[in-house]
Amino acid sequence: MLKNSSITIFRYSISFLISLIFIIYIFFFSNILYNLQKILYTILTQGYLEDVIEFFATFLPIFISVIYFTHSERKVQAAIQRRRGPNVISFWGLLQPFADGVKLLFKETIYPHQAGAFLFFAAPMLTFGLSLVNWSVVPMSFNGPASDPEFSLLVVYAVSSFGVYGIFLAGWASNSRYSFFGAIRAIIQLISYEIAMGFVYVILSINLRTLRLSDIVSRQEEHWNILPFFPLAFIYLVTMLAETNRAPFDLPESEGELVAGYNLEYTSFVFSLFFLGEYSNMLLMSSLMSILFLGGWLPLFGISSNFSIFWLAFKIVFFAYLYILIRSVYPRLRYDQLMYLCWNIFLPYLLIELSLSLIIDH
Amino acid sequence: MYEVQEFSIIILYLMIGLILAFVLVKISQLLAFQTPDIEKLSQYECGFQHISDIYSPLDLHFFRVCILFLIFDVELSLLFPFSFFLDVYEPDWYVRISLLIFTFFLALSFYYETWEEMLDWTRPYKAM
Repeated sequence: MLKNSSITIFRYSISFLISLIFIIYIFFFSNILYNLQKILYTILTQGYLEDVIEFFATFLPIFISVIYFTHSERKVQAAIQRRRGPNVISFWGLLQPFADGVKLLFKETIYPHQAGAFLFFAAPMLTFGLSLVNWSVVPMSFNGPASDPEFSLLVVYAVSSFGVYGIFLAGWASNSRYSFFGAIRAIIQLISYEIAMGFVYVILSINLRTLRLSDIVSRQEEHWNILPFFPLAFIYLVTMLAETNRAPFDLPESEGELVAGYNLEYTSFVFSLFFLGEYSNMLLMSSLMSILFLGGWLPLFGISSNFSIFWLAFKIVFFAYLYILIRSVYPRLRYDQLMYLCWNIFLPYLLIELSLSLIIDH
Repeated sequence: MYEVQEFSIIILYLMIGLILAFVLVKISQLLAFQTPDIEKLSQYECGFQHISDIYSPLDLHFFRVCILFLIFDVELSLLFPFSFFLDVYEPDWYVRISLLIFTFFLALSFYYETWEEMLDWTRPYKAM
């Protein structure tokens, strides 16, 4: 007994010492933790009031454009189906999205008694927060974005792949069969199409020799990227539909089988965080499409203006409209067709194009 | 090459976004009347009470795609910095040839995977 206890004490002390040495080693010699400390130190000590103001200066236009994107979706779908659409609140129903937001704010927040409370509320907050992070690196005009690191394309890819966690936690924590199956479908779809998206980014960056988004735009002044990279642009167009769970790839939210997918148990503003996050991601994807392949803020018919954001906004609105049009026109795919399209058609083509772009200098 | 300033702005955006989401949810919880009852808080189901646990067995294709995703994602994270290397090194043929060999073996293993019909979702899972 005594011997045993002494042995266990010895083992514990040895393991404690080893872990202590390891922690000391990490804290003093690891570059990553040192840099993290430096980042947190700069956030906490230096005055970041300007950046906070810049955050709200980017957040408010994005918020307003997102809620008007939802409104225009209802209006355009109504026009395609020969209905009126929302037309009661103010002229042509223009204040409808604000009324919807206020209504959702005043609704009761329900969480089912079988759900895990922390993860249940953490998931939509994560989705909403991550959908806003990407806007810090997307350049809107000559002035550049709020932060312009040398690998902003990598930042975009990393943050958008973190978006899987919001859906996964929502489906897992709400403890409902429908949302669980919706989340499983959504995860597999997102990670499959993420690989295609990553290959598109890698092939673009290897050919253009840069990972910075504003450099990618400035290298398209002779001709837009859609001319030399046409199949890549088409693959990116399909991928951005699949990444945001939109029709014809809206398998996670298919109403016939799963009632609403992973956000089934959510109500009130917790649901609207999911909603805002998804639509913000859609606008982000269409702006990335126009930056990577359609020349960003470069003018369309040689009509350059000082008001440089106009052309980028024009292209973003074009792709946002394409989202709505495709949703109302095309039927939904089967799940095996979805997977076949990604793994057996896109990926072999992308591997061949990667090796070709390594052999032939662009 | 490495700018702490840029990273701190990105992390600041994430922090403000999370705090904003939390504040909005709290405001909505404070403003609305909360009248919970046992039927409202129960799990969503079409008219009957469920008898089994939700964590039922899944199709093995999902797990297989997850493992394939891991391999391809590691490969992508290896490929991302090569745009810098191709820019920096002037005779860059060895960078290109090493990447080509790497891509060739990846494509070969991927072809083997499809040849074994592991990515065919139309038929049920076949044991090796």
